[in-house]
Parts: sequence; C-alpha cells; structure tokens
Amino acid sequence: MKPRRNQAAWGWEFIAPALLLIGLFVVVPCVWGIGLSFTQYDAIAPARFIGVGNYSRLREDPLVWSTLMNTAIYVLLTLPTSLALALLIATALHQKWFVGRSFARGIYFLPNVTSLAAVAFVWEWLLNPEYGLANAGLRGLGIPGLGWLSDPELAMPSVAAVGVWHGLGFGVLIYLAGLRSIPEEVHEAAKIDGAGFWQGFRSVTWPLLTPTTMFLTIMGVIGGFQVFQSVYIMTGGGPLDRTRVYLYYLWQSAFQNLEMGYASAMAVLLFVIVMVLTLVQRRFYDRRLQAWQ
Amino acid sequence: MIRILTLAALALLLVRIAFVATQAKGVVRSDRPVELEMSVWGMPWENDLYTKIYIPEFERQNPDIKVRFHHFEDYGNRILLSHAGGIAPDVIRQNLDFSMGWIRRGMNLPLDRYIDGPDGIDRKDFIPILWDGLRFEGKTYGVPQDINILALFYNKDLFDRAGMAYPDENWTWSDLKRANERLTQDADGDGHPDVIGLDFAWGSFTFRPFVYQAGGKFWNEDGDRTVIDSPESIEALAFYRTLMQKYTLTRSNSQRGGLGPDKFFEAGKVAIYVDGSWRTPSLKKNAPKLRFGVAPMPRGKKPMSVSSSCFWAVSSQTKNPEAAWKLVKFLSSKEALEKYWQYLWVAPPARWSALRSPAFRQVTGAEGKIPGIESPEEFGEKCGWIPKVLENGWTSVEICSPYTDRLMLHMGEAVDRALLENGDPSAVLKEAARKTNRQIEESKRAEALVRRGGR
Repeated sequence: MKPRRNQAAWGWEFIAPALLLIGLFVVVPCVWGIGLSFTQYDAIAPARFIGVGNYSRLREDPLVWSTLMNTAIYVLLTLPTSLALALLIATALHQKWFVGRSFARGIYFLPNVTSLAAVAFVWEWLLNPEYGLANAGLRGLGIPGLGWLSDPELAMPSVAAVGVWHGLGFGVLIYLAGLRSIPEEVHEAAKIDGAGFWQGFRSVTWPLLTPTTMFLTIMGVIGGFQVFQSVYIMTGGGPLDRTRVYLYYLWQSAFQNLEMGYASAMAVLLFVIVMVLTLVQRRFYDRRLQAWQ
Repeated sequence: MIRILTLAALALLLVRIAFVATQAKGVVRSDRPVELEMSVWGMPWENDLYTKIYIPEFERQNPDIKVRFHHFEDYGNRILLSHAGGIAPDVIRQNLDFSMGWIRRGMNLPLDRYIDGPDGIDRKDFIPILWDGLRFEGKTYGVPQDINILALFYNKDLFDRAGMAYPDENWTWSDLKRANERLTQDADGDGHPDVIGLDFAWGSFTFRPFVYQAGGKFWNEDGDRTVIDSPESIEALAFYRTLMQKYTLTRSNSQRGGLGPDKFFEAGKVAIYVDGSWRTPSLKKNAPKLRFGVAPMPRGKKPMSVSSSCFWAVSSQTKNPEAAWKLVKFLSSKEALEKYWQYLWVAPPARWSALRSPAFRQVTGAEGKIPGIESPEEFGEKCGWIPKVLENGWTSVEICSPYTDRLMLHMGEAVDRALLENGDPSAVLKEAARKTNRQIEESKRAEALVRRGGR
C-alpha cells in the first residue's frame, strides 16, 4: 500500500534530526576531508589546491608503506588469534554443563567496555621491564625478564596481545549469539547420524557460523587498520618504528607536521584499502555460503 | 501547529548559534567592556592562579576589559583547530617545544611594537636566550613566562647509605657513570637490581643535554638544518649508551601518563633520576617522606642542560590587540611571575628581577594541592641549583625550532638503534640527520606553495 503523501512527509520529519546530525558530523567532514586531500593545508594559512600532489607523494613515501606493513602485521597477529579464542570461549560458555555462564560472559565482556586508553596505561605498567607483573612472574619461574615494549621483536606482539585482550569479549558475545541461532534439531540430527563433538563442530557448527565469522572478520580488519590509541600510549610508534602503524603516522602528519592535506590523502587511501579488503572478504564468504547451500 | 513550533525552535537555535559565534569572534561594541579570551593548559589546580588571583587583579586594574578564561585539554590540537575555525583565544599560553611551527606559519601576532613601544617592557629583565627562542625572521612572537631546565634528582638516603657525596655543579660525566655503577645494587643476586643507580626515560628527550655537554648543538646558524651528526653529538651518544645497563629499559614515551621512572624514584628504588624542574613539587607531594635533592646536569666538556619555556602569545586573529597586549604585559610582570613561582614552583620565572628577588626563596605552594618549601635548607637542596644554572648560562633553548618534532622523531630512532641494536653512534646519527634534513626540505617546499597560493 502506498503511503499517503503527508504520511511520507511525517516520516521525513521524524528522521530529519538524525539525518541532519549525520549529514553535519559524518557526511560533510568526509566530503571535506576528500576535498582537503587535494590541497596543501597546515590549518593556519588558507588551503591551496595542488591537484593530485599529495597522492603522488603517498606513492613515494617509504613510511606510508612501512606503516601499512606494520598495520597489516598487527591485523594478522590480532584477527586469527581473536577469532580462535573467541570461538573457543564462546563454545565453552555455550555448553549446558558450564557453571556460572552468565557471570563468565560478563567477565569476558568487561575489558571491551573499558576505555582502550585506560587499558593501555594499565598494560604498560604490567609490561614494565623493571617492576611490571609480567616480568615478576617470569622471574619467579627463573626466566629473565623481557623488554615487552622495548624489544623491537616483542613490541608489536605485545601491543597486539593487548588488542586481542581488549576486543575478545565482543567476539565471544557475537559467537555466542551465533551459536544460539543454530537450531538444536540440527545438532541432534548430526548426533543421530553418528557425529561426535569434533565432527559435529566441524561439519555443522562451523559452517553455520559462517555469517558470524564473516561479520567478525570484516569488523576485525576494519578495527585493526584503525589501531591507534594503544600504540600512542604504550610505545609511541617505537622501538625502531616497529609499532608505528598507519593511523599513528597519519596523526603525526596532521597534528605534528601540520600537513593536513597530506594526512587527508592518507585517510582516503586507508578508506580505499579497507573498502577493497571488505569487498574481497564479502566475496570470499558469499562463495563459501553458496557452496554450502 | 507542531511543525510551526518546531521550525520556530530551529530558527531560534540558529539565531542563538550566530549570536554565540559573534560573541566568540570578539566583536567590539562601544557600550561594553572589551572581552578577551585567554587559554592555558596544566594541572586543574593551576587554574586557581588565573581565576582567583591574576584575572580578578587584572580586571580591577583594567575595568574596561573582561577576561574569559579557558583551560583546554589536548591543548595543541585544540588551539590549532580553534585557529583553523577562526575562534582562537586572544591570549594563548604557548611553549617553545610545540609553538615554533605555529609561529612560522603565522598563528601569533608579532609583538615588537608593543614590547618596545611606550607601554612596553624591559627586554633586558628577561633571560636573554628566551628572546632568541621567540624570534622568527627578525620579529618577536611572545613574552616569556618561565624557563624549565633538566636536572639530576638524587635520593639522599641511598647516597648516604653508599657513603657517597651528593651530586653538585662540579659533577662530571665520569662521576655520573661511577655513581650509576656503585649505587646499583642486586642484594639477592637474581639479576634484577633492588636499587637502580640511574634511571630515566631513555630516548631523545634525555639525550638532548648530553649533546650540549659534549660541546655540540642541534641546528645550523639559520636553524633550518640539523647538525646532529657532528663529532660532539656522536661522542655524546657513545657516552649516553654507556650509562644504560641491561635492566634499565624504560624507554621514553611522553604519553606514559605518569607511569614512568619518576614512580620508581618516588618509591626509593632509583638513586639518580633525570627530569625537568617541573617535577620537584610533584615528587614532594607524591612522596613526602622521600629525602631528595636536585643538582645541575653533569659536565661533559662544559656544564650544560637543556631548557624550554612557556610564554604568552597574542593570536593573529585577535580583534583587540591593544587589550590583549595589556593582559600579556600583566601576566609577564615581575609580580605575576613571582606569584607563579611561589604558587606552583614548576619552572623558575623568566625575569631576572623575579629570580633575584626574596620572593623567589619563599615558595608557599597551593594549600592542599601543592606543598610549599619549609626551610632555607630545603630550598637550597631542591631549588638552589636553579640560579646557579641560569646565572652562569648553563642551559640552552637552541633545540627549539619549527622543525624540532622531526628532529626528535629521527633522533629518537637513532638513540633506539644505538641502545637496542648496539648501532654505531656515528652511523645512526648521520641517518637521523639525513632523514630530518630531507623532511625539512619537503616541508619547506610545501609551505612555499601555501604561501604563494594562500596569502
């Protein structure tokens, strides 16, 4: 049924405040940012149009590619670990025999609702080489302490571990929702067909969790490419640039070097990379879903 | 009816926004006092100095001027974005560490005609190196408020226990190295020392004074090319590396939010600690039982430390430059600077007259927030080093340049390479100089484009 004209008008009026806010604070800044990427702008003097100059510079800037590589390493360290741990914990929490499930779910989700800045400070303290709890534990076992954030080889895994710890609750929650959405009859049918726990998990649960995994993977890649706070607080991009991720370099370009136009071009490049990766993932998972159907 | 009311409310909101924006831009109306906006950063209790002491007194002396006070978090970005939006405060507290890039790009009003005008101030009453730091292309872009200095903080109990004399202005690099080795103690032999001789944030921040002590400097005469790869700097880095022991891995990170080696010093676990003069009151506040003193940095080829300075600037966007100057002049007066030191004692005042006055030795603190100094002996051990360093010219702000960020970034990489990978000091500093100078060239080219197109 076609809505009456004044009904449609009322609809628009209801969503107008939200549209206005999104337009003003999301759409306009995005478009503005794309526009800035074609300028030389330091936030003090007026901007000057320079065509694709910033984009040409991106191609030649070795830091762009090294920071993108660091970011990719961060994503590769965090995403599979997060997914595997989240699935493991969610599967355990989904079992009927698990005592205190509701309490455990709350505990796992707690880091996720804590500010990442606060989390990073606490972890920096825990990982302190001289007085941190991590090294105290190691020394208790007779193992010499490690430079968690100062050793070039360990710094990125340490930052990634904090990222995994912080985001784990979200993955657990989503996987739990995914596990609950699988009808009990499907599990029972698998059991009647003689499938054990592992076989049932591999052949029934895991394929049926594909939409959930797809969601978490896409969100994980998007979030991973935007890692900033933990690096800003815990390592400042060091040591030896090993944790200088893309967004940290973008922030330095904008607010330390006052190259807002160049930083905007970097933001546009990040948007394109994340969009391409998202489309590739969508395509991959769609094919898997089609194959199973 | 509801729609009409909604539209009316929206229209009122827009009118209100326009009104507030007009106010914020500081449009002058003849029938009202001039309204100035000023901004600062710092700990929240510092605000009392401005809101309860400075501003009421200034408004009493200047009834035709009203001051709106702002304490901003994330200060640098806030000021930058306010300027970009055309609503920068009229009077802005700035610091040489982060403001030189702003000055070069035209954020501040040149103040020479006010400083040297009939209602001006006596430049000679200020520590001369501070004017050098505020000058760009022959013009002066602020009036100094203070000067902070890096120094050696030492735990008196740990020195007493080791039977060692306290550091003083005659200490050399060798004394520092020897004390570091002697004061480090590992009683149970587990490889983890119970007391660390010397600890500080390892990195470019604490490396800086060693360059000056070795006789080096950071910039060429024009201040637009780094000379950090000089033989003196290489010698400084080689020495700096010898101070570091395997367990002292607390890297520099300015964002560590107070979880750095200062906490270990407060806990009595560190014998010598390097930090700025601003740390003294917070150490006393956080560790009231800690017996500590402060001494100048050790001598290399010469006695030197490194400094920065807070200063008062007037925004180039101000609509009321005359009134803004009156406020800057008031805030940098001898009386205001004495009060600043007595109340906060984070950094000594920029004026000789304030530094040499009896008031300098009477540190009251802020009741319930910042402790004061209780005796002349305590003043001597915690602040007595300051006049010695300043009167003898044992510090420099030469590192503060529009390109300091870039230098600090690459120098930090060089220090990391020397400390963590045992990199050759000469090679890593040459690499840092090459990268810094290349970025400066790029930056200059970009700015030349902006200047040609934008102004």
